[in-house]
Amino acid sequence: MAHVHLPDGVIPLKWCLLGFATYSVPLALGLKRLVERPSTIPLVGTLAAVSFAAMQVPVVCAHLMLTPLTGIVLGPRLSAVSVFVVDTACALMGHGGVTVVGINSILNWSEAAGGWLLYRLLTGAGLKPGRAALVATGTVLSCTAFVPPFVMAVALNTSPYPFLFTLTPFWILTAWLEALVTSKTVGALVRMNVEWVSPGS
Amino acid sequence: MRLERIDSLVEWSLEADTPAHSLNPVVKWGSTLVTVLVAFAVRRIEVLPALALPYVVLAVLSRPPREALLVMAVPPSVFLAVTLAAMSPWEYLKHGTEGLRHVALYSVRGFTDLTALVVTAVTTPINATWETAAALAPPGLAQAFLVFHGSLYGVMRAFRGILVALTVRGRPKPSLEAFGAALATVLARSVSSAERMEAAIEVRGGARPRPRVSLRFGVSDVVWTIVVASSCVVALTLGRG
Repeated sequence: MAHVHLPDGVIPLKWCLLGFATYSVPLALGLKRLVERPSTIPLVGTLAAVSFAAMQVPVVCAHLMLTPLTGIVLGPRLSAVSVFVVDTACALMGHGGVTVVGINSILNWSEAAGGWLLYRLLTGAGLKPGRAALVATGTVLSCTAFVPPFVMAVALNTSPYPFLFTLTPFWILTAWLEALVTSKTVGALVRMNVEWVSPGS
Repeated sequence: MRLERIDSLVEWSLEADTPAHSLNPVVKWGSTLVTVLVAFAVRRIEVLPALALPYVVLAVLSRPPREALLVMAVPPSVFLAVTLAAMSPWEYLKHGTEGLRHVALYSVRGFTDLTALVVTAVTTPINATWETAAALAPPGLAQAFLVFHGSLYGVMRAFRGILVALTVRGRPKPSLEAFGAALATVLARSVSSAERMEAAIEVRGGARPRPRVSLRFGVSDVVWTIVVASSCVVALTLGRG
């Protein structure tokens, strides 16, 4: 849930364009998968809606985003589309600029893809889905909490340390809360026999 | 709570009849994007507010709910202020007063662009924005946008219901087990209704849905385009020093 909430005009345009250019690759792969499997469109759109709604519930000075849950349910390719929809919606509400959508999508997709990968590894190793989701979500989000300060530092040609000391602690705190929520949600989905989160799906 | 304020914003944006609502959403969002891009080229702090002026006038004429504006403007403003405050000592140590000038430039530019974006978002009917986005998006993404938009209000209502259910005697009772189970239920049920919605989208136009919003352009669109273009020209002429 590390997200660059800066409005437009702060991150230089060349970095914004680089963000869009870089994200076009996973997005194109995701759209290709979506067109091949149109039955997944409802799940993609709904997860984006749930993720967006979760963002409106404030937690300390941050918010949930449910990106690892999106990755666990959709996988790395389709989650690229869902994450892009959420970040576009946020930008259209002023929550992070329109030009920053590319950068934010890369950050959030890395959480989704990382969450999926770690979840699959842990369930493959025999861990229960709920616990695997807890460890995967907490670990991935804690690691990605360190990334936006460096992204902003490079883009703004400044030091990352001020951002690391002010923003990252809140993100790490929220990361483990999101890990608990994701773990309970995945556990409930498994008990409901929903096939999206089955280890083999 | 933020969910309730977003609900009232949605209601206002769909029902209001103001000068801003008569503008074509393609023209409004297109002009906002141009404003944002032009702002990157303006380097004089005192000239930047000229870009925000048309949007401020539009907001005054439309009189959107103050709460809606605050809900959308406050979080990014706070993030921007915290970020720039954190940067300032380092910039001063490294570049002296020139560093602080850079921080001030980012600040004014950020608030200018945020003003344009928030006013556009608040004064454009939300369904028009999403239907336009779907009309312009490639296949697959267009349908995802429409399913997202169609599912969102039901999901937000369900979220509010969960939070109310977890409130005991006016205080939220922390129960992650209950929250997780409720979230799973919301997700499963929302997907079922989204599948019906997707079927309806297919009937309307398949991979390339036809937007329900009319894309006709009127006199007000021409006037708005001229006003925004003028502010951009003024800003570029005076502000590239």
